[in-house]
Amino acid sequence: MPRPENKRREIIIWIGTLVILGLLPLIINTYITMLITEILIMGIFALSFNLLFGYGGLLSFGHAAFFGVGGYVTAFLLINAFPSVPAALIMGSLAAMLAALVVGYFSVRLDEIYFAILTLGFGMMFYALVHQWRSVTGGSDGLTGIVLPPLGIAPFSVEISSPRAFYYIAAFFFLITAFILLKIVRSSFGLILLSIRENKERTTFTGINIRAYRLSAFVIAGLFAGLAGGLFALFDRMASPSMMHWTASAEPVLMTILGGAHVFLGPVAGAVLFFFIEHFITKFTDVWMIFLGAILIPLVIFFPEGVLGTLLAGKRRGRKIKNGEGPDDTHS
Amino acid sequence: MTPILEVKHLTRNFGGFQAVSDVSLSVTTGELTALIGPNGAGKTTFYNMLSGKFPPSSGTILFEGKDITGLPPYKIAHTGIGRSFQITNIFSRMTVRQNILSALIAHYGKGASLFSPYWRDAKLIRETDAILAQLGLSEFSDVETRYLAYGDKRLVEIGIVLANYPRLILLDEPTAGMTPEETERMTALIQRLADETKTTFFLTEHDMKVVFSVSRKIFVLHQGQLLAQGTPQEIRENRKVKEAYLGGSLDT
Ligand SMILES: Nc1ncnc2c1ncn2[C@@H]1O[C@H](COP(=O)(O)OP(=O)(O)O)[C@@H](O)[C@H]1O
Ligand SMILES: [Mg+2]
Repeated sequence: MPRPENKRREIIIWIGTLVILGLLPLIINTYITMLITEILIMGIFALSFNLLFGYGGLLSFGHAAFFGVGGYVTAFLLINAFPSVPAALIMGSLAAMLAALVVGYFSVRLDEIYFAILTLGFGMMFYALVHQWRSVTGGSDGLTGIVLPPLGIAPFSVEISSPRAFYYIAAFFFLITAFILLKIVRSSFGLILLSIRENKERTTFTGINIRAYRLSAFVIAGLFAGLAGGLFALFDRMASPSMMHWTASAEPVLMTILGGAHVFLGPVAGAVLFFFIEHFITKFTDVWMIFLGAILIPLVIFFPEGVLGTLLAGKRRGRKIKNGEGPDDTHS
Repeated sequence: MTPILEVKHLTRNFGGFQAVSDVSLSVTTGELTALIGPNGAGKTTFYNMLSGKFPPSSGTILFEGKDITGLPPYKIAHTGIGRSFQITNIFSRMTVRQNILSALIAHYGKGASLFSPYWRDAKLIRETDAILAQLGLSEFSDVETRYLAYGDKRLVEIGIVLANYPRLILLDEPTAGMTPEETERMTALIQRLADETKTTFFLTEHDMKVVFSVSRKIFVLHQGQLLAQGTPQEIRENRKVKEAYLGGSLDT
C-alpha cells in the first residue's frame, strides 16, 4: 500500500525540527525565546484540541478546563507537596485526564452544537470552581509563588529556571506530544476516529461503538491539554483562573482554524501566527483583539483550510500534476 | 432448515402513523430474497428496525435463532448483519481503500490499537485489496471517494458492507439513481456475490426487472403490511399485487 507519508522526507523533517528547536535559543534574545516557549506550550494545547476537532469532528468549547486542571494540580503539588517538576507535570496531566473522563462521559453523547455548548458549560463550571474554592486554589489571585526546583538528583542536577533552560523543557514536551499524537492519528484508532468525523451513521453500522471512541479521544486530548496547562503554570510561575476562562477555550479553536484543522501541524502553525500577530499588534495598541479579528476575517476567507492547510493543498496539487498521482491522504 | 432471519409481528409507529404493521416473515439461508412495494410502503423502516437504527414499537427479530430486537446498530453489525443505505452512505473525504479498511478494523475490533499504523497490517491490506478487486475498484484505491462517479460510490458502500463479512446483507435499493449500465453492473455483482459466497442477500428494489431477474423469493409490502410472498412467478401473477401496483409497472 502506498503510504500517506514519505518515510525519508519525514525523518528529515523530524531531524530538521530537532536541530532548529535545539539551536534557536542560541541566536535569539530572551524575549523571543520566551515567546517561542509560549508558542510551543500553546502548540501542545492546540494539537490536543485538534485530535477532537480535526480528527474526531467534535468542537469542544471547554478545552481550557483541562488546561486549567493540569496547571492548578501541577502548581499545587510543586508549592505544597514535592519539589519535582516531572512528577508534578505527570500528576497534573493525569488529573486533567480524569477530569476529561468525567466531562467526556456526559459530553460525547451529544453532537455538534450541543456538544459545543455542553463542553462550554462544563468549562464555565470549572472556572467558577477555581474562582470560589479559595482555600485550595487561591481564588482570583490564583496559586502563586512557584519555584522551579532543579531537574535531576544532586550532583547531576540542572537548573531549569532560566528562560533558555525552560524553553528546552517546553520543546522536549512539544516534540513528545507531536510524536505521540501523530502516531495516534495514523493508527487504526485514528482511522476510526476519522470515519466517525466523516460519517457517524456509516461507522456505527460497521460495528463501532462511537461513544467509546469519542470518549477515548476526549480523554487523550484532556491528558495533553493538562500537560500544556502544567507547563504554562511553570512558565508563568503561577496558575490563575484566567487559564480556565472561556476565552482561553477559544484560543485553541482560533489557532486551529487559523492554521488548518485537516493537517497535523495546522494548529501549531496557527499558534505561531496567533502569537506573532499578538506580539506585533500589542506594540502599537492595547485593543489587539479587534485587530486580530480584522486580520482573522480575510485569513479565513482566503485560506478556507487554514493557512498551512491551504498552502499544503496547493503544493500537493502541484506535485500531483507533475507526477500524475491520484489525490492522497490529506490527514497526515 | 432454520431461517437466517425470522421476524414476528413487527410494528413501527411514528406518532399515530403505522409505517410497518404486524409484519411476520422469514428469510431462508442462502436464498436471494427481495422486499418490494411502492414508495412509502415501509421497506426502509423495516430495514431500519432489522439493523438497529431504531427499535420496533413491537414484535421480535430473530437472527440465526438469536433475539436481536432493539440492539444498537454496532452490536447488530457484530452479530453478522450488514446493510447499505438507500442514499449512498460512505466516507467521502477518505480514500476508497480507507473506506474498506475502516470497516475491516471495526470487524476485527482492531480500533483500540492506538499506535499501530493500519497500513502496516499485512492482513488488513490483503483483505482490502481482495475486496476492491472483487468490486472492480482496484484502480481507484487511493482516490478519495468524493471524486468517484455515482455508481462507483455505491460500489464502495457494498465494499464497506462486505468488509464486515456479514452472513446476512440488507441492501436498500442498491440501484437507486443508477444509469442502466450501472444497474447492470450492480445486478451482476449481487448475483455473483450471492452465488460465490455463503452470504444471504435481502434487498429492496424499485426496479422490477432487477427484482424478477435476481431474486428467488419475494415479499411484497403495501402500506406497512405484508401483502404477498412467493417466487417471482407467483408474485407476477398475484392479483392483489397487481392492484397495489395499479397494473402497469409489474409488466417488465
Ligand atoms: N423517521 C420517521 N419519522 C416519521 N415518519 C417516517 C419516518 N421514517 C419513515 N416514515 C414514514 O413511514 C412511511 C414508510 O417510509 P419508508 O419506510 O421510507 O418507505 P419505503 O422505504 O418503502 O419507501 C412513509 O410514509 C414515511 O413518511
Ligand atoms: Mg426506502
